[in-house]
Amino acid sequence: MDIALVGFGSVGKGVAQVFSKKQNQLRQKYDLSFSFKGVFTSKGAFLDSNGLDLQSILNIRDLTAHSSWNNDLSFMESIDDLDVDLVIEVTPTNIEHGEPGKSHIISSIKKGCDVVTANKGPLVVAFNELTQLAQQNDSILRYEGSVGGGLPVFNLVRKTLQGNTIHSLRGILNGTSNFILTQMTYERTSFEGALKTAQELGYAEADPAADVEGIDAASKTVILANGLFGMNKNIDDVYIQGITKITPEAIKLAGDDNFLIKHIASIEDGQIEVAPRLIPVTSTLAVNGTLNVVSLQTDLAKEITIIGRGAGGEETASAILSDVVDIHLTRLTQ
Amino acid sequence: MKIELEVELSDRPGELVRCLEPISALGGNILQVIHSRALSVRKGVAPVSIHFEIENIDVIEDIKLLMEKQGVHVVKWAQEFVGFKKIVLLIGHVFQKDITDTIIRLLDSGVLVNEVNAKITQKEEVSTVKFSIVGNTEQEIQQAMNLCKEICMEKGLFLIRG
Repeated sequence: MDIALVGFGSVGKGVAQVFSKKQNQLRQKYDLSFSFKGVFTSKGAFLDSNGLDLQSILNIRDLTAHSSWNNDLSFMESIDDLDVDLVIEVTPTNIEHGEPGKSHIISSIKKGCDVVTANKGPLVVAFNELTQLAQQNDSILRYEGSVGGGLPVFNLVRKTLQGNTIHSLRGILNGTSNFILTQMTYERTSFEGALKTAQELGYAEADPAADVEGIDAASKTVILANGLFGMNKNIDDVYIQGITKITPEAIKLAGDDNFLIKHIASIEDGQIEVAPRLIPVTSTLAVNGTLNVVSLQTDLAKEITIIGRGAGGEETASAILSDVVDIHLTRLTQ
Repeated sequence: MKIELEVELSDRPGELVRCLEPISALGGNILQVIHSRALSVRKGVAPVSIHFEIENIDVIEDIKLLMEKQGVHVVKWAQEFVGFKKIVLLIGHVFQKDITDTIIRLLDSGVLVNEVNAKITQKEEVSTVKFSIVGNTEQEIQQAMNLCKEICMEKGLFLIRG
């Protein structure tokens, strides 16, 4: 399988590391041999028609010193000449217009490539457009890493809950806001104090708005609504409440009745929302720290809950790797 | 559901068994029977207090009818309240925005509002108020929650639902 990796931030590097590390295992277990022919960064690209040495790219400090480096070369400029079977799209996300990821995915599909992405933006703004385009072009589009990092939500439903009807979903889809609420609960700090701790530990960005205002979780909920429930929703359809107005007094009053305040994403009765909710301390949703959780209500298997790390280069790379293996196995049987 | 009833039985052998039969026959689980001759106010009549639980609440009326047919005189019948309850938290200028009006509008929708508890923060005089909304059906609770959401939007309050 010939692959192009578009995006070389923390997730892109995680992908390169994981594929480099798992090369032998993938060959032995799944008969999957792969070759990365292009790795595209924001400053240029590494290209080699014989396959790149991923480790040498990961280790190099000065990109321009690498023998395969092409300064300022973008993916869109290169796609016509690229001879690859699959594109991994992990550029920075933009949930307003979905670019540049959206154009990368559309071009790749139109060229007949399969696509694996962890980029929320294109899926939030154009989920149905992209999935329909993939169908029309006999291309496989997978996006497990776009929601919940390493949590296998889509694959869980697609591969192991066949025949079940998913009635509803509830979950915690943002590790930063969960960490802040956990700090407020157990360290009895204010929102501002908990945010400062999260920033010091690297769990929150300097501008934490997307996390604490619920925008990031809402984007993921849109992808879940469209991907799991067959809806046609966008971010404007989500009722969003952030966590910035939660007071220590609210945490205390909730605790007096054995409730926790959690930032819950939900898809219930056709309504999608992200808002702080009172959750019993004994609930399966009562996970702490930066953990994410997704709980599905199904007709046959009843409640299914998965808990795990919702972010991180290697965790998201795990989801991407599983999508690549799945596409490989699907193509083998065709 | 748990039910507590008080009956008056003639102080004769077999009366108590006859009184308990309808409960057992219709699936009730008898938890406690207190047969108090000492509390009898009429000669030959003994008050009996019975506690039982039953899953199928549809047969409760049948139990009452069967008891009456057996000639059992039921003095008191108390059922545990079976309702739905949700806790909500309101954050903001809850008192300045007329909390009485908020509660009355919820009560007018047919639910009960109880267990009201408040904490006031010095900062900007923001208060956090917790209360329970209790209704007979899940639908009633859902309607009250939607109304609560509307009121909070109208008054600029931050709502956290259970």
